[in-house]
Amino acid sequence: MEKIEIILKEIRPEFEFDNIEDFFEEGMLDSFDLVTLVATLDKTFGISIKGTDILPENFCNTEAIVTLLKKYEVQV
Amino acid sequence: MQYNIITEIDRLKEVSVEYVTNIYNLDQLNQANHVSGFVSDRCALWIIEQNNYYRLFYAGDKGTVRANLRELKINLKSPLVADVVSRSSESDIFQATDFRKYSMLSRLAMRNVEVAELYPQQAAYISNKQINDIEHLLKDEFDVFVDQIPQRPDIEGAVKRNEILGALEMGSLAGFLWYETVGRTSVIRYWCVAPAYRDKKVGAKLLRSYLSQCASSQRHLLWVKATNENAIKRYNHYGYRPDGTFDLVYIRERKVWKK
Repeated sequence: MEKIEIILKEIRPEFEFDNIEDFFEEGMLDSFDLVTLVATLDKTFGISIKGTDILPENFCNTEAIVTLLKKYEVQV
Repeated sequence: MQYNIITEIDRLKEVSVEYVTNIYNLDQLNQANHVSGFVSDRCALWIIEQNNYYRLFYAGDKGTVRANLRELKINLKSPLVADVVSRSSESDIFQATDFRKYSMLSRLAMRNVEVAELYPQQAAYISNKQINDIEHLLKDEFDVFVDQIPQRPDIEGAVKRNEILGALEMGSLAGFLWYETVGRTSVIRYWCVAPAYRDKKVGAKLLRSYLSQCASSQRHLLWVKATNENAIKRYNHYGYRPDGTFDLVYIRERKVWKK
């Protein structure tokens, strides 16, 4: 969880990402940030997030990202 | 089409040594008028038609994408343009290809805390009466390859949503500022002063009105040509600073290859 928050903070240092329901609706992440986030998660955890999983709802908050990473057998 | 593109992306991500793409929004590809698609083992290129020119999207292994771009010999009747959003001011994807760097936009950001003061509202939201003027200014003052010029239905939608502030002088539209707010972020899409009204503080009036309207936003963003020192200086004055993100625009002029 902490690792994800560090990654998010690196992408958008101006925001606090905890306790946010939807990063996209809140305007904290945009489509460019999503591409960066996917690439960083791939690299950090040695996975390849599938295109079918690259949907805003899988990255809309920290819990959603954790759930997605678990699908790729990443221990968060 | 969406299914095919996603399937291709999945496959390419699996086989790439270093996966690269300039697809930031699948809708751009799905809603577009596709001209061509090239798919090889480690790379896919898509060309779509947009506003009388063509736009290129790529996905795949970096080395293979570059090699394929070098070999890209398709006859198009208009220029082919590609955007790369990056933390770097150069992209080596287009090295030794027929593409040249056409423009570079720098993203400027400002946090709410830097809005030192609130400005009085000096501009009002425009009405449908000014849509023609907006359309003309967009056409005349912006770069079709760089600025993604909106079509009339987009302008109408923005007017309806109160996203365009206008400065009127004797009944004429002297300038406008078009912005969008999503959650905590406000983005200036277009800011323009008609040539006849420049150096009359119309731009400042619009920007101050915008800052006043969006003072509750936590982040303010805009894209500016990195070479436009005059505009950057003005944005700096209001508290905007580069956030290290660039939009590199590459272009391949119309070219006809002999078979």
